[in-house]
Amino acid sequence: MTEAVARAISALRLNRAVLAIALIVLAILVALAITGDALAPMDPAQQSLRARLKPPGFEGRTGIHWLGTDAVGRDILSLIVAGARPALLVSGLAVALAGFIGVLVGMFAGFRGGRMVDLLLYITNIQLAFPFFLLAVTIVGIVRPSVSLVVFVIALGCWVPFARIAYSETMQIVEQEYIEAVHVMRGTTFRILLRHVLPNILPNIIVLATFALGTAIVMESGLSFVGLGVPTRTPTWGKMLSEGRDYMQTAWWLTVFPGFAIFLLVLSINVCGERLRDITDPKLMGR
Amino acid sequence: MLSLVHSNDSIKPRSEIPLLETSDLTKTYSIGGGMFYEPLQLQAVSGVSIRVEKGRTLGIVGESGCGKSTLSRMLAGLTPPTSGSILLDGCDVTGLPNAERKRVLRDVQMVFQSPYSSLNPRMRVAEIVREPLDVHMRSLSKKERDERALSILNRVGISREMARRYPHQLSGGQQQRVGIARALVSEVRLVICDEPVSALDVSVQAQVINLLRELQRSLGVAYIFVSHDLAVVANISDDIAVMYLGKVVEYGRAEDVLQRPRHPYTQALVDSANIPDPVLEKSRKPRILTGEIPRPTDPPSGCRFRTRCWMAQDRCAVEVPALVRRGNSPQAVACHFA
Repeated sequence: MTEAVARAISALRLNRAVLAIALIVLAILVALAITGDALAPMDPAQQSLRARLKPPGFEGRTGIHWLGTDAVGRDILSLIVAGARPALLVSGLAVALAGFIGVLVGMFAGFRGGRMVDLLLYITNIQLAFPFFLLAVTIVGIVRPSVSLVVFVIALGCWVPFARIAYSETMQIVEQEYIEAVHVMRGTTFRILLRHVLPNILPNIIVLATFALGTAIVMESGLSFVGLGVPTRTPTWGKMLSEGRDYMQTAWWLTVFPGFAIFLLVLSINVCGERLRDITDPKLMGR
Repeated sequence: MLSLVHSNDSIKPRSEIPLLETSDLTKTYSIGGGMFYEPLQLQAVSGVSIRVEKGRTLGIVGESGCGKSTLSRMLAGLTPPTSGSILLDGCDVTGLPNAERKRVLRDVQMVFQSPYSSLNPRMRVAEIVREPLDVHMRSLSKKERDERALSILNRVGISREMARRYPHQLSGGQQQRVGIARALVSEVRLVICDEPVSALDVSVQAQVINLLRELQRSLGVAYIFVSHDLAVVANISDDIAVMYLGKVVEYGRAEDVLQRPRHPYTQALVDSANIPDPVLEKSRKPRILTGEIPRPTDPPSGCRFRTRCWMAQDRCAVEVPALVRRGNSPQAVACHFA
């Protein structure tokens, strides 16, 4: 008995520690994204033919390369710092767009019911059956890549769960008597959706958004990896992975560190999202 | 019917036009059905004609599945009737275009059965009560609307401090008071109470009913009070309509219906209510109904109550009894032998 309690307490402590680490990592990455490459120890675009493919800890002319250098002698650490902004910006905008469209469509389908639902499920099923990457590569291949295009493509890849969650939650909420009360006071559809449905589905949507953010970052890295990512002055994390691929046998630090940055960002966002879900669970809310 | 009411409008004094009158109100639902078979027709409400005077209370009583909730939803404008008419101040609202109907039906509000689920869990009490004013009293400033909401809340016994809380922080009785305040905050004339106390404890039921009566006296609103509990309906109603399987079987002034029930179903209902006198309670021989309410998709022919009636004869299976005054009874009864 006491053992079980002790175990529960230590698990709780562990959970808290993990959450704290996740929050710190996230805060650092967000700070890096805001300040851009100002916090980078060196100029991330600075190439040096003499310092090509040097391992971590190599001391070059401009200082110590803590994470080594890449094939043209750029500092890996500085590149990762500079890559935080496009990674967070693109995925953040994409999730915001996907969430907006998905929630709007889902709420209307849930409210109207009937044909709207059939249409929604039909579209989402087609989309889910269609490989995202094929779609993304096709679109980015046809249109010239830009930040807004990549945002749009990633949003296209993650709006479906928003629409589905919004739809199923709305369908349950519109059956409630407090929605009938708005009907009786002859409130508009707009009022019902904005003042009554949206605040009640928002907690779940926020949690969903954190998970979608993780997916979006991976999608962005994937697009960058195949060379269809955001055009930037320095390579994004995904692009670093693809550039370092050729040297994986001889210079592991080219791929391991950007990969670790992606892993860390996605993991910490997911940990925070999970905690957010626990906080907003009505079963855990006190009376 | 409609033209008759309108032509009389100028001759009759205003008070003779009831606040609400329905004639032959019917709601039929189609259930199931597909490519190869016909859908089942469920007549939830069948030819109901009732009237409510200004500032009075009509009680509607019946067991679950008798169509009383469907009836109240139709009267509140939540469900369109299949046929029949609803006259509000002598004006047929069923035929009106949407915008016009919305304007007319503002005068009708509703109190719901479940106190908790009828309040949005993410809105504060004061906001919930202010909402009807937000919808159609935009001419008032936000501050005035807030004041009105707080003053009606005060009247139903919810303090300013409680008005800042969320619904889940209130008790069931308090939640239902908030629901009542929301129904009464704008200038309403008819409130439809659909089982407003059945989810509450008995002691709280009495408080809420007393509150409703008090508000009726001071505000002059009319109620349609729907319940399965005859004792509760008896307590608040001026008139009572007893429903069975979608039809009104007895309809008249409350004391007539309760003291001299004519329809066997009403008699059984009255008998089933407890008498708070042990001597009387022991000596009486209540008529207890047996069996289940028949399926509404396949109601019995003739009188719908005949399958459970101790007076049923061959005639009841053939002839549908009309709801009329019979003999010297002051109330209308739908039974051949009343």
